[in-house]
Amino acid sequence: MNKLTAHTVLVLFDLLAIYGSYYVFGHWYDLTLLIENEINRVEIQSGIGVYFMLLIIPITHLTSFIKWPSDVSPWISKGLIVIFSLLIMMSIFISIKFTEKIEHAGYFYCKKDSNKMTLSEFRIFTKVEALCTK
Amino acid sequence: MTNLTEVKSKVSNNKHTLDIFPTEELIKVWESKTGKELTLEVGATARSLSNYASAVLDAKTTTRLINDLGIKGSVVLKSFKGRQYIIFKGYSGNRSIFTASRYLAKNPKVVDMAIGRVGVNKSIVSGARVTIFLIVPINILNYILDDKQTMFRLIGTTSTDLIKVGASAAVASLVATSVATITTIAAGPLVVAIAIGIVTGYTLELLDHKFGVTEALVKALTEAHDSTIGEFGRQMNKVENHLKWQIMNGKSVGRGVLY
Repeated sequence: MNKLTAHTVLVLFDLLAIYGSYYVFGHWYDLTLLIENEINRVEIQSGIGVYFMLLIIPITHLTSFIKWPSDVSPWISKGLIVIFSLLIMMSIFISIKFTEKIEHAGYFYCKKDSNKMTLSEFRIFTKVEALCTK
Repeated sequence: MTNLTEVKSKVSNNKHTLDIFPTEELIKVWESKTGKELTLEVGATARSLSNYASAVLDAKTTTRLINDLGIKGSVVLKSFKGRQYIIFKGYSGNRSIFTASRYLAKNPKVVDMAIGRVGVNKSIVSGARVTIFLIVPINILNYILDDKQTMFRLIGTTSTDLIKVGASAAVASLVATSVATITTIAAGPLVVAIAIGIVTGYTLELLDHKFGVTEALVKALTEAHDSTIGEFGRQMNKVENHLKWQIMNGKSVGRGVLY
């Protein structure tokens, strides 16, 4: 793979990473609206914060554009690993916050209606337990 | 005589009881001890965790790599006379795996530690293979444990799971190779491969849930079975009932069916 193709692929994934973060924020905003309007059923994907992990791609991509002095480059390496670890922690924290937000608004987790897939679960929360249909 | 007594005492002191259970019995015992809900929960959790096998293997390789090269370790890819070399920066005496300063890109050490395009791709493919080896038996086990599961659901979910693993590996390989081309940080491509592998899996599940791909596949399989083998079975049953009726009522057997 030549450098131009590599940069093109990474630009595409940079945009996807930004969209991923926007998707999580958008979902948070939508959830706020749903809760405020007291909608009976809300749905979230468990571990939704993982989309933030994609931000490691634009960060890595940006570091590759600059020719770092030899005494700085070790710190860039360290920084990348620290940022990735922080992104993992952040994704876990955000996923927990999403669930907390719904539960604090008085919703009940409806296991029967939720769709458990291989990696994640599409969790259904209901305002009243009786709305848990299946 | 003493020998016989000795042998007898040895045999009597070395008794073993071997209980042989059929699989169904073992599952029943496990369910009665733990409860049906827990059994299903364990199965589902094992299925989820198997998807992280690739990421765990990559993280392990990254740790080994960082330990050997040091946190500031970096590599440069250079082509010389049509052959690609991996050049390690820093003092080689401090390293335990990469004891030389340059290796061919196809060197087993380099490939094993997932450095360069060949190494990263090999790592991703072997990660995907491990995931497949884990996910298929776990799906079958879940099918055995869960009474509500049908054979078509097993085939449908396993097929889409395998497609997801393959797609995640392909996307991770593409991005990690791109990163390996433009950066000199040794651990960079692997860190990106871990992130992209997990996120692609989540994205594919989101799309699957939104468009109902697995459900549609299970439905199509069920309908295909129903309209072919199922329909044949129903027609055979009809013929059998008709023949039985003819025998019981003294009519010519096979009339209207065979002639």
